[in-house]
Order: sequence, then C-alpha cells, then structure tokens
Amino acid sequence: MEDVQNEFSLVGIKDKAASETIVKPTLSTWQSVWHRLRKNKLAVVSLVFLVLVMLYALISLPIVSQNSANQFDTNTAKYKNLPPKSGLPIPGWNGNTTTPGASESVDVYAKNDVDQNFILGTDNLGRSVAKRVTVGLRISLFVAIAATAIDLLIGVSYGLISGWVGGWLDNIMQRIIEVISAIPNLVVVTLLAMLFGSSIWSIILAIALTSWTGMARQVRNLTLTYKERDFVLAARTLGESGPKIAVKHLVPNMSGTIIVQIMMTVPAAIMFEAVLSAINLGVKAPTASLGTLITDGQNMLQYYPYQILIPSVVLVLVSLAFILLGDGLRDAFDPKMADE
Amino acid sequence: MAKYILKRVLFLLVTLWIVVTATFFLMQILPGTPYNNPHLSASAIAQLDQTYGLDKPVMVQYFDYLVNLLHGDMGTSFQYQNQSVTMLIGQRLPVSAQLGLQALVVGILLGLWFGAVSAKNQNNKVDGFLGIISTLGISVPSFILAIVLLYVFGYNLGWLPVSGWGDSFSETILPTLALAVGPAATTTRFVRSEMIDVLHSDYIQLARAKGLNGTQLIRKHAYRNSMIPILTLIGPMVANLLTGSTLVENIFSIPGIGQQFVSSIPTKDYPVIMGTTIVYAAMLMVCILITDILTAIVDPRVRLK
Repeated sequence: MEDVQNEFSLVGIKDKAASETIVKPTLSTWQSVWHRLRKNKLAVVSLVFLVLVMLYALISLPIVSQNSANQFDTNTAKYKNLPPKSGLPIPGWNGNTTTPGASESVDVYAKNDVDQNFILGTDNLGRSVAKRVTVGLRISLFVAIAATAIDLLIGVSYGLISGWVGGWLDNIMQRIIEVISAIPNLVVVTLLAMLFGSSIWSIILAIALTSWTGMARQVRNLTLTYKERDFVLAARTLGESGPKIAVKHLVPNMSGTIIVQIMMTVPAAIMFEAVLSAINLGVKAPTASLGTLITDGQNMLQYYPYQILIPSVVLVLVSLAFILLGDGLRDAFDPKMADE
Repeated sequence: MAKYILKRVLFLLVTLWIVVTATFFLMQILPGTPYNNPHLSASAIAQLDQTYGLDKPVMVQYFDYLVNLLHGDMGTSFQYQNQSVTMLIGQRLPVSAQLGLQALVVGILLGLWFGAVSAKNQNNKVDGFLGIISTLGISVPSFILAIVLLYVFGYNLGWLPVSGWGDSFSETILPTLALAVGPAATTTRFVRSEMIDVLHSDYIQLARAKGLNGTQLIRKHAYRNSMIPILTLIGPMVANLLTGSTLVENIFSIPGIGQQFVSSIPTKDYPVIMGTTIVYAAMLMVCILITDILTAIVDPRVRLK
C-alpha cells in the first residue's frame, strides 16, 4: 500500500491552506458590467465610435470654427454645389456629376476651374459640406447632451421626491406626468420653442422639458422598491436625512437604469433638434446643426443628394451608436436579461 | 368593467381640459400678433380685435373659447381669411388619419411577421439579420427615411410619385412606408422577446409533444399569447407616428393636419396651432384609452389594479 502511495506525487497546490481559499477575484459592480459589456461586440464598437466622434468634435474646435464654416465667397459662383471629390479615381467620389439638364457626367471642378478638392463637396452657397457637418455635429451633440443633462437633473429629482415622499404628493406628481405624456412630444417641444425664442439655450430647454418624464417614471418606480429595502431602513435608523439617503444610497443603486435611460435620451434629443429645424424653430442660419443641414439639403435633394445624405448619415450613425451602446449596457447591468 | 371605463373616460376629459387651458394661456404669453401687415391702422386693428373678441379680458376669452369648443367651434384662422379652424382641421384630419392608420397596420403586420420569424430562428443568422434591421429601423427617424425613399424611388428610379395625395393609391406608398418602419421595428423586437418566452413555456412543449409543427405552433398558440403585451405598445407608437407624420406630410406635400401645423407656426396662426394641439392630444389620449380598454378586456389582471 505504501509503495503505491509513493508512486504518486502531489501536483498543483502544494500548500494545503492555500487550496482552501477561493481564488475568484471579487469584482466591483463596474468591473463586472465592463466584463459583460466587453463581450458585446456591437456595444464596444459603438462605444469606441462615440468616443472618437466626441474627440473629433472637440479637437476640430480650433481648426474648424463656426465662422470658417459659415463664410462663403460672394463674388464667385464657381464653388457652388460642387460634388464630393476625394482626389482619387473612385466612381461617385471623383467630382464628376451630371448637372441638371445635361446628359453626360463631367468633372465640375475642372469645368469651374477649382483647384481645391472638397472631400464632401460644397453646398448651394459654396461652403464646404465637410466643415458644415463638423460644426453641425458639434452643435447637435452639444444640444443633445446639454438637454439630456437637464433632463437627468429634473427627471431624477422629480422621481426621487415623488417616490420617496409618496402619498398625495406622489399622486399629484404622477397625474402631472400623465397629463404631459398625453400631449404629443412634438406639440410640447414646438410650443416651448415658440415660447422661449430661437437661441440655442431655448432649444435645449424645450427639448429637456419634453423628455424628462420617462426618466422620472423609472426613478420613481425604483425608489418605491428600494424604499422598503433593508439598507434604506438601516440608514434611516442611523438617523440619515431623506435627501442624504436619496443621494448616497438610492441614486448609486439606480445608476444602471439611469445610464441606460441617458443612452436612450441622447438620440431622441438629437432627433428633436432636427425636427425643430425642419419646422423652422431650430438654430438660426447661418449657424449649422445636423437638423438645419438636413432641412436645407431637402431643396437640393433631386440634383445634389449628397448635401442631405451626408448630414443624415452622420445623424443616423450617432443615434445608432447610442442605441446599440444603450442596449449593451442594459444587458450588462442586468445579467438576467442577457442570458435570455 | 363599466366602472373602469367610466373612470378612464373621466380622467381623459379632465386631462383634455388641462391641455386646453394650458395651451390657451401659453398662447396668450407667446410673442407676436396675428397682424403681420404693417399698413394696418390702429383703428383697423381695434376693429379686427372686436370682431374676433380679442379686446375682451383674457378670462372672458378663455371661457368663450371653452364654451365654443364644447360646440365644436375652435375659432377662426388668422392665416386663411374667415375659415373656421374646425373646418380646416376637419378637411385635413381624414387624410392624416388614413396615412397614420395605413402606417400603423403595415408596421404592426410586418413586425408580427418579422418578430415570429426572428423568434423561430433564435440566435441564428436570420435572427441576427432581422435584429440589425430592427435596430436600424428604430434609430433612423421617419423623416430621414422619407427623404431616402423619396430620392431612391421617386427621383432616381422614378417608380413612385414624389408628392401629392388623393389622386392614386401609389402616392400613399412612400409616406406610408416611411412611417411604418418605426412601428415595424418596435413590434419586431417586442414580438421576438415575447414569443421566445412563450415558446419556452410548458403548454408549447405539450403542443410540440402532441406533434404540431413549427408554423402551426406559432399560428395557433404562440401568437395569441404574445399579442396582449403588444397592445400596450400602440399608445407610444401613435405618439411617435404623430411626430413623424408632421414632417413626412411636409416632405411629400400631403394636405394633412401635420402640414397645416407646420405652416401655421411661422405665420403665428394661434387658433390653428391651438386647435391642432387639442386634436393631437385628443387623438393620442383616445388611442391610449382604447388600447387600455382592450388590454383590460383581454387581461383581467389589469382591471383589478
């Protein structure tokens, strides 16, 4: 028997005490969310894309100013409506186009004697579409993010107060939300935009005041659930005040839901900015936003489709990235959902 | 059940009254006057004010408006001479209603189909493809879609008319499609997840054991049970459709109330803006009410809450 035992040797863990410990590292909520999010390729690509887009909007700030995007040469018409030209012989991107009435495609750059290459073409005043889209993207993102921030502030505090205080106050606050949701968003945003005027801040305020109800509802529902939990009871017993419990204990627990909601609000805000531009309540010319670019491009659709398609594609890509990232984050915050 | 419906209808009326009141007073503080013509003399303005009752105190105007509204009179348009708002909206409402309904029906039917196909092919290529399409459908606003459809099928291929309404059915195809994609995408995603739940339930296992094949299974058992939650989606869908249809009507020059709403904003035609707001709110609320009642009929748990 002893011989047999000697023929085997212990491999792996030599220290007996060490073999008893649990080796799996403990992950914080954020680490585990990141761990799960990383598996979702679409969400990661969206995240990288959004970071790049925001970096581009910031870095281009000193290079492409609002003024340089607005300026155009009033003396000559030769820069007007030039199609995108990359400088490479790529079909559809070589500056060739069929002008209205003409039958064959010609290089407009050569015809108009323009040396410069506009990689995304020019608009009907001769301004570079690339520059216009850059500043437009910047303004649209700024409007959307600022509106979402206000939205977050109103929505979270409204939901917290409504859920925490409860009783008749909750009842009244919920009825108010129901009345607001009974009016179509477009109408609310239009009326508010008419009321506040057409500065960029009034547009932000109009969008923010329209879209906070979703956030408020979610936060209220979560407050109602967490209010009865032991950790809140413990905090109460220790004598913490209501607002402090809300900020220190409730909000951190809701951060997942709140972040997902933010990811849904930003694209909605980008869209509402475009809608306001389409009904002439958006930022005033010559300032460009993605919305005004799309609206202006509408008249040129038949002959110069790139003028509307380029800002549209940018708007759709940014919205899509936010939605995909939001979907990914929702699954990452709630592993039960992801498994289904 | 009757009590539930009565309660909901009462709440609807109160909400509508609040909307009317809020819009009315908002209109009072909005800048600008309906008199754009600089040649109007002060006496002419005074006379016009008297004709339209604008010289009365605000509260009197408010009660007049409420009383008139109960009689179906929403005032006179500033923009179109002597046309009543009720008539203006009345002419255009059927157009918008037809467009909205067509889009909703097409969207939901497509969504039911895609959702079921997606659920049946869970996690394979078909499902993945439909997942991408439906995510795209949710993130592309209907007015951008309208522009793309207009360019591709209207200008470039020349298959379908680019504007107009009422002359032929083909005119309605592009705007309907542009508006239907949103509801279709939402329904697809919802039906997919609902149906996956249902397909994993015990009674489906039983039906499978009984020997029903895939299509029969979905048609006979899975659809019905995943339909109930879809009813709750119709409210938000109608709200989105109202926003979308405004711009889509404008793009395709369709004479609906959306286009009228847009055109009355720069001219500051307040009676029309108010009338449209009220009609929009009423439409949305009635749609939500109908779906809620339907849900309550189908699912008794809702009534008891």
